[in-house]
Amino acid sequence: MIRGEKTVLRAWEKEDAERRRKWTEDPTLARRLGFRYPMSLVQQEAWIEEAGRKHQFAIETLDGHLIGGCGFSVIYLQHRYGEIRPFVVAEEDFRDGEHDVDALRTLCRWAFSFMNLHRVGVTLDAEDEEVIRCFEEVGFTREGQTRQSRYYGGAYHDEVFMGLLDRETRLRSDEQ
Amino acid sequence: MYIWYSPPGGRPPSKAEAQKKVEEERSRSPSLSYAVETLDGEHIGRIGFSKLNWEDRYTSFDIFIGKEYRSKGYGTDSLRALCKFGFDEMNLHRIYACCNEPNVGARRCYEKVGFVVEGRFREEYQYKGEFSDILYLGLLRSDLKEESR
Repeated sequence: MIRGEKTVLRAWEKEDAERRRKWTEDPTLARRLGFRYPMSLVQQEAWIEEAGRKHQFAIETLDGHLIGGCGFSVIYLQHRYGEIRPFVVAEEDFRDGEHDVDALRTLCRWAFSFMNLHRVGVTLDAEDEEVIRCFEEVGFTREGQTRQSRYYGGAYHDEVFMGLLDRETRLRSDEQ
Repeated sequence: MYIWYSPPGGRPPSKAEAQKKVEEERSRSPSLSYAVETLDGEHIGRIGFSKLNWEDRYTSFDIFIGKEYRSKGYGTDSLRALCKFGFDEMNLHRIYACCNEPNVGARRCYEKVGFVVEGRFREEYQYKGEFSDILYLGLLRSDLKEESR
């Protein structure tokens, strides 16, 4: 497990499938998780089975309460670059600018300190201010905005690109 | 022409790998990858759409024009034809492209077709130990520029 100050990133367990399925029934979370189609318990279990090989983690509070998930959808080792997808704190009480920010910072620190990445990037729903703020808080820079690249709810929506370089977090942790 | 079919990672392909790739493309239905010819039938490169995202109705493409045929407008012309086909026949909503910032030729080609720079991924690409930025460009149907002549 990967320890933060307020959260812990741990491997997904089979028992988490039911909770994940509940989350995907919430339209806001389904959008953040990138799930478009309803998913069965069996599909969730299959996803969890694969997650161990894919740099995907469950987010827990320090006292062991499952609150979300995060990870890298793809890592390009020759470019030392990883793409964060998804990053979701599903339990509303913990989207408080503390637990969510700590989980994200922990994920990035781990990527730089243990995966030797040079850069992490993310593509976010441009209308999802709450999540964008979270990435800004950790030190991500806005690097662009697409026009009409995602379709949901009967309309096209924009996305925001953000990126963080390893030297930018090192500076941050030196400051502390 | 097997040099036109490099596997990802920039590793040079074997002749067998290149041949297999061509066979795969020929048997796929519908095929999204095409040979580029001049009007008098000379094979000068290839172009094609990558995996389609049908829900969001967008895709990207890859293009390769043989070295001796570059800077003659073939790339721009074939890309414009491909994008037009994508919007008019495949009903795409959007096409995007990425290019390495030092590759000014590619950027100029995309912008001539109408692509707009929407983002710059800082230091995303590593080559010979140096990092460079990747430019991200998008094209909507209304951005597509007709041939300027």
